Amino acid sequence: MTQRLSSIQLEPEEGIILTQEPVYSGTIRLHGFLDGEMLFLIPEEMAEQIVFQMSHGRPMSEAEWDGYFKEYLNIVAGCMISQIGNFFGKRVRFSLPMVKKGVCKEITKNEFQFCSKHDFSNELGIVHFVFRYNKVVLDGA
Amino acid sequence: MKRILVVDDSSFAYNEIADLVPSDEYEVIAHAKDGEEGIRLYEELKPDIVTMDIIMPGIDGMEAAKEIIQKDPTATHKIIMLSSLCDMDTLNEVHALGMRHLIPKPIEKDVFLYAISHLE
Repeated sequence: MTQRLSSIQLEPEEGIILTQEPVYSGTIRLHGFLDGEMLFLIPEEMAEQIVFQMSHGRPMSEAEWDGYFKEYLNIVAGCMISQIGNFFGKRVRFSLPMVKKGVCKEITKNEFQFCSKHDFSNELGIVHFVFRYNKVVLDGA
Repeated sequence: MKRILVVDDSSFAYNEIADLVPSDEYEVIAHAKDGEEGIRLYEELKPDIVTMDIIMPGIDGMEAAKEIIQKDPTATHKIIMLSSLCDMDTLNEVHALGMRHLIPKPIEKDVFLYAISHLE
């Protein structure tokens, strides 16, 4: 299934964000201490390498491929969110990831408030995680 | 031979666990893809070990574990919770239900093998 991504408002930067090559996006809803979404943009080739390594090269159907990729996003998001929750001593919960494939249509200056971005480098390259949240709930607030 | 039921919406997790366990000691007997199916297969197959993912569509793993334990209190010594979400609240919840192990994903082989051999 392919679907064009709608416009994404991010800080323009070198790397996959500016490419016109297809990317997979994974969106995970957050709720609790952090309320909003996590957006992952992973180049198609990198996504395929990730699933290839997870499956040890085993042939699989498109549905199974999607399942493996979602599990990858699930694991990465969970690890990050667990650490954030532990760091602040707060509880964060998240949804199952929704995955789409498309091309970044439009990149503009970041207009989202409270948006932070993390880069994780590994042997496969750099994966960008954009962390957008709508509100932070604090005790006593 | 100990029989393992994998409850996880991910086929990756099922395949990973099947590959991890020594085949001369353990057998992965079934794969339930959500909590409801996990509860049904637990009652039907009576496995020795259950690996239970937490975040799943429908009934999540924690609710499924609670329901299994309500019907079979000995299940606290059979269920291993697995999750990418391993914060203190989740760990406390697992212990409060009487279970011993919450294993983070991605699964580390040594950690997993230790857990399935130390369920009591």
